[in-house]
Parts: sequence; structure tokens; C-alpha cells
Amino acid sequence: VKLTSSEGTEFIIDRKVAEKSVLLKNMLEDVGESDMAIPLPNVTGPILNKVIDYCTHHRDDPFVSQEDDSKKVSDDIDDWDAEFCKVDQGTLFELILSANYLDIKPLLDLTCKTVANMIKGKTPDEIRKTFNITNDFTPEEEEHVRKENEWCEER
Amino acid sequence: MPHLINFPFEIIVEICSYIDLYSLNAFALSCKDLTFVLKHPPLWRHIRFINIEEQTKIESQFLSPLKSTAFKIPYKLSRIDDRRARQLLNMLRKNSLSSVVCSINFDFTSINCTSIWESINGFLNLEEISCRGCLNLSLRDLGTALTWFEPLVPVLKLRKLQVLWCKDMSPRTIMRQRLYVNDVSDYYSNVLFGFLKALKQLKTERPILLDVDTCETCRTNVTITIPCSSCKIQKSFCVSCDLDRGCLDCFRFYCGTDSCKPSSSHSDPILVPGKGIGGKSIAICDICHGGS
Repeated sequence: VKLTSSEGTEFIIDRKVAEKSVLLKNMLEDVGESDMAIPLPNVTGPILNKVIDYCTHHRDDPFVSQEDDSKKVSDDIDDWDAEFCKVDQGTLFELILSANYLDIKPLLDLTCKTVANMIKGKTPDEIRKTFNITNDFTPEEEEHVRKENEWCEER
Repeated sequence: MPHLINFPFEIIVEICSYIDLYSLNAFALSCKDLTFVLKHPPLWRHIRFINIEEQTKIESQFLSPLKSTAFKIPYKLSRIDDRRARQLLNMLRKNSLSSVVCSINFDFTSINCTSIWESINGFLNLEEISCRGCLNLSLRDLGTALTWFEPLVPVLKLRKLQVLWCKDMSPRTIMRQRLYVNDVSDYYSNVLFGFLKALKQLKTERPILLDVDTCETCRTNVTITIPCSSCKIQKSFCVSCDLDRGCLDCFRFYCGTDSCKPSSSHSDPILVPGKGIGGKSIAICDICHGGS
């Protein structure tokens, strides 16, 4: 299967690897075998490269269907995956967006867990710093939200 | 470079589904565009105050032999008492989220019966309550509390209730009661009896799956969870069935498992009680010499 990233770089991958992405799987099923490259205008080359790495590593994983919503654990990341996620924040975010776009659920889960782990246990200020978020609350508004959630305010 | 705030809504929610309530609140307070997560119903389906990972850690510490010295319930859990639980309930009610809640986990918090009662009454679709290691909660009081009022909803959805390792299981409570040996087992069976009777008065759609400290052998007594006097690992003991392995007068019990060899703790000149687990010989306690 041939894929083209947003800059026009071409990637040739196994069909099995490509089918990790539900988007590509459906496309391949609709189109059938073809020599035409599939354009992926939302994904840049380096990111697509990472995504392919991930899909190749996990090519033989069974397809996990949507499990129930109660057990959400975020520390069940194996070593390879943890290493895979040791990238700068920009790359991580782009990975999330491409996983979402290409519909690769395990990759989306993995990257979301990684971000969740970055949030856990932090104060609002630390979160802002970590993700470069600007505080757009006026003191009154902030006080209002805090007041509403007074049960979890340290007093 | 993409920015967290510009992420699609579903992704932010997905990320938030992994974090605990404290972090969720902090996340929401970091920017106006993110406050919506505090009002997003799916994130309130299962209320737990800390992450599952952290909870598992606390649990294993609680049940480990070193508990007495190193174990401390984190402040963010111990500060959750009835007042804070009510504030949370009020907040959810105000944002019309109270019907979303499906399970609530009070493990290792300082709540008492009031919070349980108010949760049952306040969260219409509540299915599961877990209160393990709540050191202020007593099964006996809970039994009484459940009979206080008629629930607002006649038929509850509740189907699972876990109350483990709570206050009246603690030997200290029983010591304070200054009961005679025979009364002790009565006390524990009465606790269970009263609780089960109270629970029967609640009408539920399905039978409630109950996880409380009951003795697996006699099924009529509540067990106590204390460290084995020899290997110091927390074990559950029944004050009636396990009498051949312990002494009620000085409140020591011995688990007698293979891994727990009393002879290895040579520093303690404590007797080997209940020789042979099958044998019904009653141990004479070396500490109080009473022999129960």
C-alpha cells in the first residue's frame, strides 16, 4: 500500500500494517487493490513515519473492541510504548491528531494516556506551564469556579 | 504546532477520562475553554477521588505487614468527609449531573453513614458504592442509618455495595467496649445481622451484591482485619471460628499459614497457638495466660 504525506513524501507499507488504521482499512476495502497512493493531507512525513513505526510494532496485536468505560488505567503502558511516547510535546500532539484522523484506537489511547499522566497531580499553574496555556480567567471567574468546586479546595 | 486547547472536544474528554477528580479540577481551572470538562456528564459516571493506580498502591500498603509504621492515608483522601461529600453532591445537583453518577468510590476516605445515605438518595442511577478502609465508618451504624428514612426513589438501582475493613472491625473498638469473651462474638454477629436486616428494607431492582467482612466459614460473623501476631500480615479473623488460632483477651490472632512460621520469629517468646489447624486444641495465650 502506498501512502503520501502532506508534503508529498511517499511511504510503502504492508497492507496488514495499514489496516491498523480503520480509516485506511475502510478505504482499502472500498477501493480494492490499487497502485494509486493514498493521500493523507492531514499528516506530515515525520509523523506518518512514527505512526507507521507504531503500527508495524503492533501489527500482530489483536483488534480490541471498545471495552466498558469503568476501568480506565493509565499506567499500563509497556516499555516499547513508553519509549515511543518520549517525544516532544508538539510531536505527541500531532500523533494524537493523526491517530484520531486515521482512526487508530490503540495509538490514540496510548497518546491520551501519556498526556493524562502529564496532567495528573499537577496544580492549575503547573498545567498551564506544561502545556503553555494562558490563564484567561479574571480573578472573579476563577473564584467562581473554585467556589463551585469547593469540595476539592485545600483549606 | 498544535495546541491542547484547539484539540477536538472528544480528545480532551478522552484524556480527561484517565485523570482523577483533583487533577480534573486543576485542569479545568487552567483555562476558561477547559472548564467544560467539569460539566461533561460522561466524566462523572464513575466518581473516584484518586487514580486507580494510586488506590491499588494504598490498598496493598494497607494490607502489608509494614502497615503500622509506614502507612498513612493520603491527605487528599482523608480530607473527604461527610461535609465535603455533600459539597460535591450539591455541585453535581446544581449542574444537573447527579443522575449521571453510576458508581462512587469512597475507599479510604473519612466519610460516615451520612454520605452513603445521601449518595443513595441523591444519585438516582447509582449502582455501586465502595467504601473500603473508611476508618470512620461503622457497619453497625450504617445498618442503623439505612433505616432512618424512606429513600426518595422507591426502587433503587443499587446493585453492589462494598464495605470492607471499617471501624467496627478494629480491635480497638472492641477493646473499648470492654465486653466479655462470649459477648464479643455476639457483638460481631449482631453487627452483621442488623446490617443485613436494614439492607433488606431497601427496595432494589436487582439483589444487591454485597461485599462486607463476613466470615467465610460461619457466615454469621463479621470478621476483623488485624495483622497476624506472628508474620504481621493483615488477615481477616472471625472471632468465633478462629478462636483456636488466637486469644480474645489480649486480641492476638495467628494466621497459621505455611509462609507464617511462628518459630522464625525467635525474638518473641510467643507460644505456637492452635497446633495443627485441623485440631481443635485451644491455645493458651502466653501474653495474658488467660486462654480463651
